[in-house]
Amino acid sequence: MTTFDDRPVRLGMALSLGLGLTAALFAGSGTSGGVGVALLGGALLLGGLGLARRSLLTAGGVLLFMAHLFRIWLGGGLTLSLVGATFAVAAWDVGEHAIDLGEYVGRSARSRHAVLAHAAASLAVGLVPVGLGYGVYLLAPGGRPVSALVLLLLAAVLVTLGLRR
Amino acid sequence: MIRETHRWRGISALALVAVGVGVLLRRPGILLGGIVGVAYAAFATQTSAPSLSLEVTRELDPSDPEPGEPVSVTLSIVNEGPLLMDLRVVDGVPEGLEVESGSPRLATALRRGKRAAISYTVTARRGEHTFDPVFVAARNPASSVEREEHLAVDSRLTCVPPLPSMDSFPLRDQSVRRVGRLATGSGGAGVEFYAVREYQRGDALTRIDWGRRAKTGELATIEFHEERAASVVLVLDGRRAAYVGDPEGEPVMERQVEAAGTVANALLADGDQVGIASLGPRWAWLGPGLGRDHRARLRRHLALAEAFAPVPPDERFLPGLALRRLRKHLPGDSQVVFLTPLTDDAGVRFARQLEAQGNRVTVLSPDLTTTETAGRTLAHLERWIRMRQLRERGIRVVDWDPGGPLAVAVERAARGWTR
Repeated sequence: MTTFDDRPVRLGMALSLGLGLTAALFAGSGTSGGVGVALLGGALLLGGLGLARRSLLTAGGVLLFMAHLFRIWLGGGLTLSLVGATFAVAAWDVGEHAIDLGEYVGRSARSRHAVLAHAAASLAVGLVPVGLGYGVYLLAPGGRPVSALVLLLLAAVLVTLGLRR
Repeated sequence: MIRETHRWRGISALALVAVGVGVLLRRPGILLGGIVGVAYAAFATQTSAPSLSLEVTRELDPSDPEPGEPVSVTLSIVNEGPLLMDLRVVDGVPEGLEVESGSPRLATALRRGKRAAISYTVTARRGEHTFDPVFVAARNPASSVEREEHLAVDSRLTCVPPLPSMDSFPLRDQSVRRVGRLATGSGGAGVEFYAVREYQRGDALTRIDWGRRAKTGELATIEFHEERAASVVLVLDGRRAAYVGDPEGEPVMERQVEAAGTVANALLADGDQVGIASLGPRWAWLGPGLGRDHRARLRRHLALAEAFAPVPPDERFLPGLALRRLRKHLPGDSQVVFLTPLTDDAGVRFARQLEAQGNRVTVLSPDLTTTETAGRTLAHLERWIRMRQLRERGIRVVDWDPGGPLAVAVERAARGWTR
């Protein structure tokens, strides 16, 4: 068959970059500790997408994720970091999906629906637990029973894991 | 076929590291971050592949185009099963057809009962083209498992070019017992003056030379060139050696088919019987005939027979066998027009052997040689020598530069021809 342009599909690339940049921005807000890591992560993400190299993309996603954990450790706001961590993983997921679609159908093919469906699912997976956790945190009586809440969430996720298998 | 993509490899490790660090440092916040990772890890452990239940149909418009005409292809996919979040479809465009516009590929999400369509155009080329199976791949929401299938959607694109037109093609002196337009070497009824002979009882009164009778009192009968029809078989050189490329990159077989169609058209219009054959590892034969239905059959044969395909043959060529087979089919009173680029000496040998066995041969040769480099000039000269060798044996040769019209090349060649 004829050759086709097998670079990552445009919409997927744009979404991945958007999520990654937002995650990097969040990581830098409040505290300056994780900024370097976040910027490096963002750069690797960008490079991975541009060159269609999955290894770079994964490294970028991991670094962005770590930057947020680091930010939490430094005392940064929890909500922003949890959302940032989710965005970091989602940026990798959507980006890898974009590279994959490029290899299967190429840039000149229509791929909007597939990209959007996948991005929506990917964000939901991360944001739903974060939202639930935040909800529990708000509804919990008294001060900050974070430990108990955390253990509760962990239990819930592990149960879900067990159910799936 | 089902396979795991393993794209989420490492996510569990990342999540556990985060959880572990959170526990060790007694920072619940980090623990929460780890839970985000755990959530994705759980997402990734989905191992059930989506089920594929698709109805796929293809439409071609038009399905019988002329060469060079754009054909719009529409592939419709209806999802008769549950929601597919990530469906990739690639249509099996036939080899040899170029996609002009649009894309034969698609990635989409399709709910139950919904339809997606792929639209693109290809440029038609001579021949019959069948579509390859459609490639379909579906993934689960995490994109961790993929189901891949090839679906057969039979479609055929048939492109039978019309026979190009030319006024006439001069033939050699060999005919069959049928009245036609060939001025033969024997005298009789006809139009063109041939000779005068002594009157014999029974001669038609209309053929008496009344002028001579008036002058000398003798009775004499005028004889005209007896006009008879010819039977011609167009033999196309189908050997691998004949599949060289012309300056536009197309195999010379395309030029041969075009020339054969042009000559056949002219001869049929003049009332001659025309057949076609191939000389090569792939056999083709259509015996000489005439009439509208025969013309249609001949046109289809030229367009679709495998022996005249644009791709060179794989099979081995056995010259003796091929020549014997052709000889067996060739009627004894048929002329031969042999179409060959004359890229090797075997072409000369075949022409001479056919001529020797009694079928008068005219060689029609597309010239693919150039004089750009020393090597190419040599090939050009070798071909010229071959043409001379043919002419020395009384075989007519039409030297055709495919860049120009065939009629001009024929006319130029015919100037030097005697009967």
